[in-house]
Amino acid sequence: MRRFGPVALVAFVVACGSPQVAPSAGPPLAKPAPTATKPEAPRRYSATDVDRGIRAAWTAASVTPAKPADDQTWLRRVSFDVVGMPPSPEEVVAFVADKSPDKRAKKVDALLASPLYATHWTNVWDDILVGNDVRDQRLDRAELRAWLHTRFSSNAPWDKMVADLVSATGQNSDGGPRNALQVDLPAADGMSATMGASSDAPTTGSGSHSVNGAVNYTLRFQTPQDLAGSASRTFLGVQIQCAQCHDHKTEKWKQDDFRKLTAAFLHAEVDPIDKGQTKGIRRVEIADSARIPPRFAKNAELAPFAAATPTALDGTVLDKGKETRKELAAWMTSAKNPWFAKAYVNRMWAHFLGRGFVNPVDDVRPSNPTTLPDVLDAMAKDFAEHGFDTKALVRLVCATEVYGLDARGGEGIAPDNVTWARFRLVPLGPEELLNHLFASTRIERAAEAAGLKNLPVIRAQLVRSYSFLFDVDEVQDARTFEGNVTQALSLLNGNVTGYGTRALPGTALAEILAGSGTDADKVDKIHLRVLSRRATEAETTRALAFLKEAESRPAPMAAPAAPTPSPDPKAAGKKGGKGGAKGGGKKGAAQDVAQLARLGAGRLKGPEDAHTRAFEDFFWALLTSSESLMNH
Amino acid sequence: MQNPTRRDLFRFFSAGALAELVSVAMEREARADGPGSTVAPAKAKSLVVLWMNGGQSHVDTWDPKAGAVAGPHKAIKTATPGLSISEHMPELARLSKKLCIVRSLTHKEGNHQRANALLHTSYSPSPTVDHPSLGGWVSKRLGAPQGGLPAFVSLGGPSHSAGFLGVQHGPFVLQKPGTLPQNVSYAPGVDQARFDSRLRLLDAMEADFAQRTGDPKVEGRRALTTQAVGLMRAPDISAFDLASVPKSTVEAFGDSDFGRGCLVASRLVGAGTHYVEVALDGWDTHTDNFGRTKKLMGVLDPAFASLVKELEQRHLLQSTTIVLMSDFGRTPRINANDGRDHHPSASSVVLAGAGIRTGQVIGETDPQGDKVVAKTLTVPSLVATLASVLGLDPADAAISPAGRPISLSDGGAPVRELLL
Repeated sequence: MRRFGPVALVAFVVACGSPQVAPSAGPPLAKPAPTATKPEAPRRYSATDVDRGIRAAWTAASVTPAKPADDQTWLRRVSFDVVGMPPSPEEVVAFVADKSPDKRAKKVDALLASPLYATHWTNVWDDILVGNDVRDQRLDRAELRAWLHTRFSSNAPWDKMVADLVSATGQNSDGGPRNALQVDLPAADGMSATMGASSDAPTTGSGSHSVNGAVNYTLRFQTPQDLAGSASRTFLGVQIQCAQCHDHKTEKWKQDDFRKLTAAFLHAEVDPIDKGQTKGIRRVEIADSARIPPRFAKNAELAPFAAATPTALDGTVLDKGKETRKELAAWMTSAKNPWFAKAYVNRMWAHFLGRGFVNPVDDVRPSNPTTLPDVLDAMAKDFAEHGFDTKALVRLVCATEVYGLDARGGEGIAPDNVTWARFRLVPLGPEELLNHLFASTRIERAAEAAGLKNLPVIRAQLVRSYSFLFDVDEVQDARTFEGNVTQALSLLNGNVTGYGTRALPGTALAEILAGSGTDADKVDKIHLRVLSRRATEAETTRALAFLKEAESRPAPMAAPAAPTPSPDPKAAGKKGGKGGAKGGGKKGAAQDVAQLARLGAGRLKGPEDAHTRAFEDFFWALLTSSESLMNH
Repeated sequence: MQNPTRRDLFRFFSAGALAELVSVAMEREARADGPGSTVAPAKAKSLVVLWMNGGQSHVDTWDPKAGAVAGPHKAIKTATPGLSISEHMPELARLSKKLCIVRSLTHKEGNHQRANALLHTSYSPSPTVDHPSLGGWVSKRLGAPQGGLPAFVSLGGPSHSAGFLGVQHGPFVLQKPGTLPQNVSYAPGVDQARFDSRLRLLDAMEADFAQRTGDPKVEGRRALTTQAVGLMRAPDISAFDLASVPKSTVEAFGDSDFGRGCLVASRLVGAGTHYVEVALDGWDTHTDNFGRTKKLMGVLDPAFASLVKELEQRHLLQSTTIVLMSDFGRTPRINANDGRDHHPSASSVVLAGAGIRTGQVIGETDPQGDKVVAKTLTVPSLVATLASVLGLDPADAAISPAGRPISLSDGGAPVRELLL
């Protein structure tokens, strides 16, 4: 398309009004799935409309977008984005072979219908709502997760979900164990039922009628100011918390605005159920109080908030006694709220496209420039006017041409092009990364084959340590790679990549090597397993040359017994640990993961011949490569 | 020159190898614009930050008071005339000639996260700029030491990121100091020859992918891998490992995580690491303030004192500056839970080592410890003082991703009275 000048391109767009797709590059993109709209309803804002808006920006800036991504690339991308998992090799082959014109739309529907969908979005929102640094005796994370999971499973409307979170009343917990996991992962395929501890459903969460998991969102915050600031930022994209200590220099928010908003949250009365010492989660009940409890007025820090009249950010008075928080929730999640729908649409766009219309995604304000505000506004309006349907929004985004572009840029597209003229590389988040490493290596099956009894515990600890280690700031629009040496070391020498890339009984590599075919076929199968795509000819040639050279090397010298200093056995297995320090969970995690090494060193024995070793080296390099560890 | 021009230039070059050159040139220019660009020669090669996480109660530690605000802790005289500190820091009281106590730090951030950011970066957190920490600046400007260790290490706590200077300048974090970092040895069954062969193949794959995508993130990952391999092979990596250190030495530091952190810090400094932070958590004493501060001082006193002595014995104190700081002070008023609450308007800072005028106390709070009444120290000036000791220009600036020059210390100036 480079030969079209801007004017010609405008003419082309106006004339066709359709995505610019090179005829040979895969099937035509599907129209968005028809939704159950009544005949008289206004036309929905479609993927084509989104593309038209973005294309106009490219035209204006004389940008030639990247080529459309091929089917394999698109399938891997959409799978990570919608369900947090790579596709299986069989899925890739079937998808490429599928000749139907609407196969991409059908794939999105299939992913949305998968039980993995709710698991993934529970992980995503648990991380946003609670994050990694929270330790509170009253926080029952498993109940909050169960609550989220139920809603994502049934595609609960976003406005209803947020209203229920913000104004939640009821009991937090049945008093289960503290320090629930941050992340649930689906069990690897082929795992036996005994591994069900981490199946598609959240690990715990009673579902008991007396418990409302949503109240744990309120309990996650130490102060009402933090709750108000965070709710405003997360659900509205308004960073009112900057006005906590002083009037903002450049924005319109005043300290008074912040106090009035916070005052609405002061109507949540937290009553303890458990008094004295408890071993498990401390049970409390949240109820709405008619007046701001007097103890707030007596607290020097909170008195100015208690004295303020509960008021929304646009001046709507929320002061309705017991109904104050409900009024707040209704105002916040109304289709008329100027921020609510936009904040969600912007966040979702950033999730799928690697960069929001507004960045950071939770900072919508006049002085922070919005890329293509018209497109964002139109998407938000459509989202609000059609029931805040989160799955429909996923369908819309995934059906756009812009989501299906290649990561490699055309000429003149800077890597940080802000109008998504090429797909932006994003490192896999902790959950996706671990899913990917498990699925690529099938290390769990190998561990099970070796008879490791405490696998669910080890797995849980791995999840925990990865969620700390690979925690990335998703609200930022990173231009450069965000990673640190600790992460790099874990991938270079850690247990998951270390054992997972060996041809131990049960691993993916062992299975491939035991199968039929030439070395070239096996190289291809490894590509399909790790990168969800076939190997190119050049890659196969290089791989075969490498294998030949690697095979000629002598066997490595006796390996050191343990890769890391042996942990304190007394502390091993103790989840999280006490110690008070924030690092408590990390320490416990590291120790349980080290168990895998200790057990593994004794029990996981694989073949030691040079041919196998050469394949292990190849598998390792491919698994730890950027193409493997990034969404692209 | 106008900002948009700079920004455009930066964007234009940012993908290419010229990016670094351009940004260096622009930063030099930005620096020349700023005030006080005459840089004093470095007095220290390294800085050790003792971070009292949670908000150290100044009135129960370094700035003891009499009357209703005082708790059960008594004040004891130190070797410095006119200076008293809490009775629970006897070793530091004896070492007071080697300390400079500042009782007049004041700021406005009463929230942990925000105060933590302020003390580390000299800016209150901003939604628009991800400010670099002083550790990040040190890493960027002074670079990694010869022996392969990281320039910026944090022990027992997260410290603060290098912000827009990039993760490669962020802290290398070790939660539990005293042992080698995790995963610095080859995985079982892998030796050096095998590892090198794997790396060569990986590098070829990375080069491919970088070329195919043209995305700087791939190059960033490659650089990180190189850095990680550098650490694995660092001749000085044993500095992290206390296994061979005599038990009596470890015990002198108090045999706590914080004590071990201080001992590791002295070894890292010896190996050339420029910025080491050691965190002591638990100072957020909303309840049981007196029981808890007593316990914490019991951990702090031997560790801090031994750090000073150890560095002196190894002739490193002349090239190492130490600073103790915290989120904020705590309220003189004792709350209903026998605790004290957040109090950013007054807190204490302690300095020691290279470049510092020790054996003195600077600044003063009122008789309640509520407000600073003499020689107010601001956070930017504290950061500027620390930067200048290390030979960094407090007015040093780097270009943020939005194209704005951001200075190291937000206009702070080194405080002459604190310096030799």
